[in-house]
Amino acid sequence: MVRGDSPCHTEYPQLLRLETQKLEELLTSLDGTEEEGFAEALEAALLQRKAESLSDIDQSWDILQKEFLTEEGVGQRLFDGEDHSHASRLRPRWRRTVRRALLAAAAVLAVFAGIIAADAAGLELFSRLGHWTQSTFSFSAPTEPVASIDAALQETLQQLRMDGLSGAAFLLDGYQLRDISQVHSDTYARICFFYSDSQGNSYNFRAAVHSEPAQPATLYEKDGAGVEIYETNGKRYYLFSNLGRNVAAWSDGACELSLSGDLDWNTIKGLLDQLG
Amino acid sequence: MRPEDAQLLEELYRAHFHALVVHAYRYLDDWNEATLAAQEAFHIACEKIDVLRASANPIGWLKETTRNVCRNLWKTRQRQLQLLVSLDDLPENEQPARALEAEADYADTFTSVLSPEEYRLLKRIVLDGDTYLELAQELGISMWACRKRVQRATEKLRKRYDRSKE
Repeated sequence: MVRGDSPCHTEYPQLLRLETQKLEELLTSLDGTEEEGFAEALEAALLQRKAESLSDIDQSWDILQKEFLTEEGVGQRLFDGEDHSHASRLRPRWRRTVRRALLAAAAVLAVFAGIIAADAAGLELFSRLGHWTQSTFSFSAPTEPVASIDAALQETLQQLRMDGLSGAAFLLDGYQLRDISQVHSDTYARICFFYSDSQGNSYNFRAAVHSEPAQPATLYEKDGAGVEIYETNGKRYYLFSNLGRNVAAWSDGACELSLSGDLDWNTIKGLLDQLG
Repeated sequence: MRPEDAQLLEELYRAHFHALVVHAYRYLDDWNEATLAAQEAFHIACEKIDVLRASANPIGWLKETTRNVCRNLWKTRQRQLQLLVSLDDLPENEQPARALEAEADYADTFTSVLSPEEYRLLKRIVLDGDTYLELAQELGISMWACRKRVQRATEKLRKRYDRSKE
């Protein structure tokens, strides 16, 4: 049961006004870079909405006893793999193709400390500064509203040669493009390319744009370790890790971009070097 | 299981099972699979009750276990799917003999390797997305027996595929 002090009541009450289907779409469209508090609020809101339609708890308990906790099932696992692993973070939205979801305007507001003093000399003027705390990273909000989020996103993808949806610019040997997800609302657009290899390793490239000034498009979670600034070809990239996955984030003005996954830093930097 | 462990498990189950189903749904986008994943997490919790009891954050432990079940579920499905697709992509002269008809579909290709029942089981699990539990209930067998049958069928296909690549 969802308590009245759960995050969907206290921090994101607007979630409770969304339809169940929208909540489902939002929850499954999370890609692991959002603030965990937001994900928890979404889960709590959906739990509250689905409370009556989820399976009866007595029946479920009965199934656990009769089907799972049997002599035949002792020591067995339904699916091969480790019960616990801290090696990598799960990426939601494994299986879906393009899906539109209403973006929660809720997309997270936080107070950021530790603004870096940036020296923009030699760097693109349109880059926005990165801000981070012990557990989050984001870019400074754009100062001007974005006239057209679609045009801004398209322009960025064209510059990266990613507009044909082939995902070629970020495709590594041994990997395949597995999925492309898109989220679109009146004020926000995001596209994410998911790549994986036959060993289960994965990474993604993501581009997001928010039309409202003073609103960052993405709040990234990060580990407590610091942020490395990597500069190449006149661009500044911010490198950090989150739960075992390495993340490179950068901005080209309107858009915020990131590359993250089971990739080592040399591989990530090699990809960034090729972007020109 | 000790009575106090059984009591702890049941209390956690009744208080958090639905929350874990929703948590699993986040990763699986399917309510039936999410329910199965949450059940499997409690199955693991039952076998590791001492670890769960010693955990400073039992709910966090259960959530992490659920996430890993989801990961394993997905990886298992991917491996099975890749095997089916790989076999289907074999050159014509390397495919099982009964698959030569132009209209050959998965069924034609695989029924020379699998029994009709094995093929049907694998198709339901891998291509149709049914859960072991649903299928087991339909067939009147235990879930673990159903899982073993699917495992055996997958293994047959893998051997056939490996032979074709030699």
